[in-house]
Amino acid sequence: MSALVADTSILARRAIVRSARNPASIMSAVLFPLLFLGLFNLVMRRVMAAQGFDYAQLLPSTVVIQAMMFAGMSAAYYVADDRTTGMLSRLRSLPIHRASPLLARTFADAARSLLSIAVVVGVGVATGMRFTAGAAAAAGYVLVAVAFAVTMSLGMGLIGLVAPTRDSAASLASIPYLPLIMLSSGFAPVDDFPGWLQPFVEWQPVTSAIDALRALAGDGDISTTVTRTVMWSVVLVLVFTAMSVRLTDRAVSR
Amino acid sequence: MNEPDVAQNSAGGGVRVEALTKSFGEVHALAGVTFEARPGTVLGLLGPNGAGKTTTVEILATLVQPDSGTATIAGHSVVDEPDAVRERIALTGQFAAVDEVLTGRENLEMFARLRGLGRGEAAARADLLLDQFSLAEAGERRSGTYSGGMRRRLDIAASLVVPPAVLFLDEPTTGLDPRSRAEVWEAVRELRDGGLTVILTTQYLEEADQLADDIVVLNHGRIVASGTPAELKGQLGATSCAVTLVDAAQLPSVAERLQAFGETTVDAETGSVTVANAGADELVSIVTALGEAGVAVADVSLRQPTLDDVFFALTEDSSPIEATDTESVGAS
Repeated sequence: MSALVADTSILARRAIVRSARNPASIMSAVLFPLLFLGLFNLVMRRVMAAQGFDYAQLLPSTVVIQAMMFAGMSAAYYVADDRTTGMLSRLRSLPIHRASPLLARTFADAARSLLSIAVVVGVGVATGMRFTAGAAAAAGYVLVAVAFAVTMSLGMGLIGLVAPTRDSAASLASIPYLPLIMLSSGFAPVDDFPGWLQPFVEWQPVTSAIDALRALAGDGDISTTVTRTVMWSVVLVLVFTAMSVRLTDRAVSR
Repeated sequence: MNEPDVAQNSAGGGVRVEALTKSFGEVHALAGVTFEARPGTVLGLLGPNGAGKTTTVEILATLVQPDSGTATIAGHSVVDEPDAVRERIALTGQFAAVDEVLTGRENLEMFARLRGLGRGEAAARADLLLDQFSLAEAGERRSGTYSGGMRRRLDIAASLVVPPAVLFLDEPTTGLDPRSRAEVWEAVRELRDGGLTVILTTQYLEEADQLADDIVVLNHGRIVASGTPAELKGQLGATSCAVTLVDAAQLPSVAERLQAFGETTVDAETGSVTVANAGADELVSIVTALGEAGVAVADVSLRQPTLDDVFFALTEDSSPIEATDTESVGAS
């Protein structure tokens, strides 16, 4: 157990240092979310207000979830990098805890997601977002967002285990990202989608997470949205972790 | 290097491989391989792409499970006691697996910490290794800025943060320029002299010749020859005499004339004729004969048989090297 903690913290520290020294990581963790927040507010705020959709209040939660997906996409890149440079093989030939590389990656992405949450929510509050459901709900807001980042990190990390190069891993990871974020409640209400798409939009995990965040900030029913999101996270984390273990064994044997 | 540790670790730090097989789907990467590396020696695994060298190393480094056969490191089975094996080995893979974003020092300290050294110990060890591998001045720079040879040296240094019983070097000089290659060779020689057991894979015959105490030649997952470099060269025997002409147009006639001294082969590219099984006496006769015939000679030399000769002689019955490319997916 102490080996797991020690090895994981050493590797998590490395992963965080790597991100911190990579300008692209900083951009995707901080700058892109802020640009999205600013530009969507600028372009869509009035249009959406006419529909009874308060962008200043609702958009930051969308952008937080979007930033969590960026964290997942960077996981795809870094996992592929470790695999293709032989770092993964080297780590697996060391007498370290078997779970530590994956766990370290997950911790680093959780840390990165905290930074994104702080920046987006900070700017969101400055531009009119309010947390009206109390301090516990606000803390829950952060936890749900981090849990979503961890889920994305594990899921998109799988792409990093199979993609031929780190750059193709980053590109491939953007394929699930776009439909999931666009076909969600994030930018437009579920009712505005074509009827045949609405069941998908309503039930998919990204909508679930965005709705949960909005509820925790004071807009919506906390217990149903958070329950659904936690269930999505538990199921996906279990599936993605099992697949990671399998694919990692295969990845180092090539 | 920390000499007492090495001596302690290398006692019984041998590698035994018996009847090892491994297939990836239809591809038989290893079809029954048996060899032994004695403690404190360098064993060269030599062969073309897809011969099974990397698969062998991956099995020995506990990354891949064999289909059948046994492999032990210092008496510990790689299948049944992977943790004991991992405590005793270090893997330097085909790519220099160091973190480009971290400095040389940070890389070494990280690997030292992962091997259980405390912060202070790890820093001291990093100092020592940076010094030993001539990286002291570059220690505070990110390894991404290093030359290929420097990165390889850092890579090898990272394998030595805790002196292993057995070090695996998988094609350590592939892609390096000649100068970097020489630097890496020097580092490997020092390790061997320090008592480490090294398993070295290479496609370069010269590299195996320079570094290995024993050589195992692999092709298509099978051992086609093994022995010391001298023994392998002995299989081909005598020296040959190579004559380079000033005027390449004379090659055919000269080749015919020199048939009297032994079997001749013409290399149009270098403009030379080689006489097989020719020693110093024949060389003198050849030069005399050419002088009498008025042939202008640019160079005359005696050639020792190289491992290349041995290698091509051993593998010429198999399908050409290019044909093994399909295999390299699984086996290389």
